[in-house]
Amino acid sequence: MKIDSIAIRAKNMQIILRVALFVAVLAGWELLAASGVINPFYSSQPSLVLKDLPVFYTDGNMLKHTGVTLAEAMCGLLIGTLLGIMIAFILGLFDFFGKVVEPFITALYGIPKLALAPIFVLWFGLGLESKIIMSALLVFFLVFFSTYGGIKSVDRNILTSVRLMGATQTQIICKVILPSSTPWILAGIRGGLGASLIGAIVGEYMGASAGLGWVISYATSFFDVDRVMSCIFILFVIGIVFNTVLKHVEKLLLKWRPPLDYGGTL
Amino acid sequence: MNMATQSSTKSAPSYREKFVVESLKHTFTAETGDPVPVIDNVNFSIRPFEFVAVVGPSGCGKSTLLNIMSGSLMPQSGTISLDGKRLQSINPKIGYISQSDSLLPWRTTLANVELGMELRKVPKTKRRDKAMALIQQADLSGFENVYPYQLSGGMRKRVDIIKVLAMDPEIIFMDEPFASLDVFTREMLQSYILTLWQTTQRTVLFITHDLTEAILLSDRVIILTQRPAKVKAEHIISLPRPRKPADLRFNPDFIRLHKSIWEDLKDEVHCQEAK
Repeated sequence: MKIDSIAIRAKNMQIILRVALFVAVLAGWELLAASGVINPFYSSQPSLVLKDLPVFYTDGNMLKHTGVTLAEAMCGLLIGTLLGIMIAFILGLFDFFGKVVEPFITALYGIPKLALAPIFVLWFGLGLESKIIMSALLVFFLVFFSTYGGIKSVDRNILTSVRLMGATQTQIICKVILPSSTPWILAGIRGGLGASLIGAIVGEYMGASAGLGWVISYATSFFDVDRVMSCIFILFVIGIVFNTVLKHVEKLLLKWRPPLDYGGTL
Repeated sequence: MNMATQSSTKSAPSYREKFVVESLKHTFTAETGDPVPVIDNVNFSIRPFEFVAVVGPSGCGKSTLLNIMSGSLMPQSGTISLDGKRLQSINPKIGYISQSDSLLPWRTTLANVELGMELRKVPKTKRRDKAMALIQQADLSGFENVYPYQLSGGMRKRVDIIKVLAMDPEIIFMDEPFASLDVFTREMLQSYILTLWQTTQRTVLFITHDLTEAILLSDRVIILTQRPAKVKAEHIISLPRPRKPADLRFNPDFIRLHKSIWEDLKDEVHCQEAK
């Protein structure tokens, strides 16, 4: 009871300090820009961004561009995640095949994939497709390696014990390998969330007619740094929302794992 | 008391025996390519409802023996038979409790106990009822919906045991099941196993390196030599039942038995040290 109230107080304190830190950074930026230490023409300024956001919104462009980028990122995330999990399971379960193919995937992973963005525009056009593919490609590698590692690290004792209980191969996959790999898959998706946005934005830089990446690159060419910062603010909010959703999914799927501070903190 | 009963099992397999191991031999190939004999002509049998303990020095090939007996490793020569039928693969009549924790960490106590029945596609309500009854018998009521990390070591082991019992095995192999537990938990679980065995009437083969534990629990102790494993001796344990492991270890009969069996085991352990 007492320990609980201490824990709640600590949690409240953390939230207060978190907000205070955020406000302090914004206030510092505002003051530095207002006092002329940094030039708001290049760096913009929180108050100017705040003024620009409603303009961006009423122009009717904010929702459209945000929607385009979100659609690209979400499609990329979905496709990349599904392909990553599927291919990791195929290669992980058929060991012989896995040993043949896995080095190729590792080699491809070494290529800086953003370098492929221009050619993707050439191959898949200026529309959503080239961005979705870029985004899916980035997500795929993260989810694939994480899932593959998860499949390879399934507890042998559990595997033997379930096999001795007479489980079929399908039962072993569904009841042992999949649940045991879930934390790994989620870790891959966590990385994939950020990567999917990077893929979409960079794809838009290369050539597009809509999306936050396109707005950023367009506004930069007109030295409209306030608009650029508005877009970055929106991306910042999207990032927070994505991560919060994933955190709740993790909490739901991984409630069988001891919490990180189980048995005391360091 | 010290009877070499090898000859009785060498005769034609009798159907009165629940489980028979006959002329079992197994050799591994070392990385250098040299053959390493692990099991060298092991013979023994277990009668229905008997509690047999197998004791041997560590590294004597107990695990290999168990892998072969459970049907997960094919012997190079010799046969294993259950109810007079030769064992060719994993058999659902055999339950296996290992030394390490083999609970699925993502399943609650209830779901872990239900696992075996789920694999056999037993209807949901039926398996739930059975699992709940077993959980209650094991004194785990109130922990049905808790995950393994929230249980103590002794509780986890009990879940591990009823998880196997839920599949109604006719013979249960236990591979040093309490090796990783502390002395008090161990004593509690030894009593638990004895009660369980007495009330449910199953055949048990208990592998351990702890002679005290072997004598406290079993009807018969089989001593294995160091690698390659052979049966060195068999001892009938005629201590009265029901037994209380906590008190029995100070009983003069127990001490006498322990002393005489230790004579057999001592040579093997010392022999190993000399190497």
